[in-house]
Amino acid sequence: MTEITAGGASVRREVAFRGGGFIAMPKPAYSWIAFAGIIALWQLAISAGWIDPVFLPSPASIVEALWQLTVSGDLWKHLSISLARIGSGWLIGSGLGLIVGVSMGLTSAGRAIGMPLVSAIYPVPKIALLPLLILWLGIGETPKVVTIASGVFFPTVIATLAGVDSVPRNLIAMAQSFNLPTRSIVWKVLLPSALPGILAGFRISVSTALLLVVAAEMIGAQYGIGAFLLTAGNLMQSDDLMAGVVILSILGLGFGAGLTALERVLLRWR
Amino acid sequence: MTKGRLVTTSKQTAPFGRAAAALCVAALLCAASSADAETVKIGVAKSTTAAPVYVAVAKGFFAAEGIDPQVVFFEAAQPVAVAVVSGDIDVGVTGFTGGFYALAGQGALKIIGAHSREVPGFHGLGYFVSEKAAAAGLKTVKDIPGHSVAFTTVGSAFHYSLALAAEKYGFDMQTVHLEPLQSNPNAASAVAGGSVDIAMVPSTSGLPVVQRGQAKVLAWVGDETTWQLGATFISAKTADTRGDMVKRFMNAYRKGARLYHDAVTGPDELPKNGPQTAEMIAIIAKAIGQTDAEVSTALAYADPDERVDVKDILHQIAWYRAQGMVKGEFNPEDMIDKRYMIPYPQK
Amino acid sequence: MDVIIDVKRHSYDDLLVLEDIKIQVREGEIVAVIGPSGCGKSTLLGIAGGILKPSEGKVFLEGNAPPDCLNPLTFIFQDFALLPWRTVEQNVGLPLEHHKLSTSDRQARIADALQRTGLSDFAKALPKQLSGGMRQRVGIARALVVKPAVLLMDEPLSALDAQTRDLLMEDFLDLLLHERMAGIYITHNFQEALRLADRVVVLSRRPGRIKEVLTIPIPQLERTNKAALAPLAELGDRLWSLIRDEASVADREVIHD
Repeated sequence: MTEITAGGASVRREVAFRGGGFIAMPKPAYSWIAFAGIIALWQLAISAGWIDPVFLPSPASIVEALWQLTVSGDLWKHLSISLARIGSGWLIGSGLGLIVGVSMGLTSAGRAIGMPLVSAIYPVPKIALLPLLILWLGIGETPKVVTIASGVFFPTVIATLAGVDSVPRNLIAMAQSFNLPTRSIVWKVLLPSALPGILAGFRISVSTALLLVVAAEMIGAQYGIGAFLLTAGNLMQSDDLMAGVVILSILGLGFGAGLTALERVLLRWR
Repeated sequence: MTKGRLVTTSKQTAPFGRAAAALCVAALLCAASSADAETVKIGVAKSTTAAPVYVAVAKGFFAAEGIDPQVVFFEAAQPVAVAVVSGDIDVGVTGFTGGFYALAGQGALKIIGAHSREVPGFHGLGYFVSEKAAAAGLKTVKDIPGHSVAFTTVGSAFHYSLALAAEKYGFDMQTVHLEPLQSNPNAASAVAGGSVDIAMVPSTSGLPVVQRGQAKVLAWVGDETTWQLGATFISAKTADTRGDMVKRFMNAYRKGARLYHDAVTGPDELPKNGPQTAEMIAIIAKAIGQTDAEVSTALAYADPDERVDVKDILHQIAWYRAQGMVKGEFNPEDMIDKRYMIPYPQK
Repeated sequence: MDVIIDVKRHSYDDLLVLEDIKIQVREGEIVAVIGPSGCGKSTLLGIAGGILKPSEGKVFLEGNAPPDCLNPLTFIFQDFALLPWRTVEQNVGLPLEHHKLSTSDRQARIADALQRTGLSDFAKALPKQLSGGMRQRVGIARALVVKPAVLLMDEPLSALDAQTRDLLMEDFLDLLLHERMAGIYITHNFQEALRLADRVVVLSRRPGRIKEVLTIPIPQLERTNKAALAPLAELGDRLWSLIRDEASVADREVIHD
């Protein structure tokens, strides 16, 4: 930009920088500092008596509860039982969800039958159905696994269907132009192409499985993280309750990290 | 956990803090309140067991003491205790729970009166046996060892009642398969489907299953083991700073209890159908939104003076402690405020 | 092997896209199809290759395919249509996987196709690691691996920048002239048509009809000679005048799909 001065000579001015911002930069240190800061403030608030520990147990007492759980061996007992339920429920739910999602994505009949059913059944709160579930399946492991599987099934169907729908049609046309058999098109083109969508669905369904372990263990469970949480809540043992929440959070972080690693391997091509 | 209807499971998801207040459904039962009356929020679980409260409100006993009563309904007993600690509720009238004792043990709650009692003749909590188990010879409470028993939660009134039966009949609780199913409908469903041998549920949940022919009444808790189901309680702060209000509250509350007791209980302390019974049923039905017929099958016993059975409470606390469900060192006597309560005579 | 296209008409729902298209492409001949955008050029190619069904009309192959041909009608796509999770050699090998071939035959075909497209050093690379020009070379290699009789090229250079396009066009020409294939080359760029084709079919705007067929009498290898400049420029002017008006009207139309 120039300005004409009275003498006719131009004045040179530096252009000021006005861009930047609006871009997320990775700052991992900030996360840790904020996390530590919140914990410290929390502990301080209770130690100083600003918050009644009746309402919010202190981080120290939660750590103490976690420690007690670990040394007594109960943690492993609760974890192993819950993980078995989450694992089998998730495998069954997502396996069926994949099959149904792909069938709905591939066939018009499947879509016509499946779409309204999924829309109608997905939003039904599973907990409201517990009395019926108990009537049908009893109180053993079956209703617990079914509760988790049914919660996992629907997000998987929806993610798989969206994944199949997002497969570029030109890839299908390419495969057909080389006379690839239908089975090969499904396995070699459709499924790998839908994989990013399916993995994104897994992220949701794994969280759902963790959420539902509490609901599942409402049904006659003596052991399991969900049963432990419920008992602690019923007895107002808020340090144990928060310890259970911490365990669930750590599980959620662990599963999330596992999926990220899986994506890094399977989706290297992106 | 009180007898009556526990129709929600939401208490598990927000078990402490002010969040509990979000579960409440405020109901202004007393429309006519004088301008200078002191507002008192009374927290109850939505069941027939708080009958004296409804009667005292409907008959204007609180208004006569200069109190504007606001009855706030909760879907379960435990959140009431939490709400009293947090100050959202002034007076709680509900059943005991492990959580109640945990809070009271920290000095946050003071017991000032009674709540319903399990006594012979009144059908509050019951043992319901599946058709299959009944046919296989499960006939009395004595036969329970080796069988599975479903109820709401560990540390609930049902759990304690069963422990009392074990004491009475000398069987080991370890021989009973406990199945906590979190809600009364779940437990009723389990016995109806034959997944468990026995469900311990309130009559309101159990009798419909019996009527459908899917279960039988094995016994009533009140006939087997008498005990005090719950308490009237306030926060420690209220006990120390609002003594006058608490005394006036108890006066009105006891008037309601006396009227209700005399209307539904005979001189033998057994249920009776007297001239005032129908009116009491109508008051309760209107307060908790059920039909008169539903209420009449679930009438609860009330002590005429809301006297506190101190020995029973100490026994309960000893049990919760022995189970590891109430932790920490405290003197159980400290949770009873003798300034306001009338003790139940010990035999 | 010759290919004979005879499309009476083709429409999407009520929209007539193509009408009365008869084209015969002989073995060893390259026919460019040129026309304004939206005139149905790519649709015509899809019909020729059997992946679109014409509303009314047929496509025939005449003569014998070479003995080692696995897929007589083979496409090269505008957007390459590579499987991004497969390496270059896996993409090139895809059309062979459902054929009964010996391992050595399979490997020889892949190696030959890679070598002829200059991809031998990139066999293990993923598509995302390659430039646009290299990706289209993979598309060409994948077509060559089945030893096609008719090559169907759908604007194969239009997704590339101008420099890459010029370079790849020469390689293309080299490949086409060394095979006895019939070639149909869809383009909207009349310079490409003038460089590659023996004949140029000009389509009108929608519904696409054959407006004119121009024969380029100069052999492809002589078109860069000085002597060819003037007659080619004249043909170029002729082509441009044929499509200019159509393109100008087509540009102002509302897109219907």
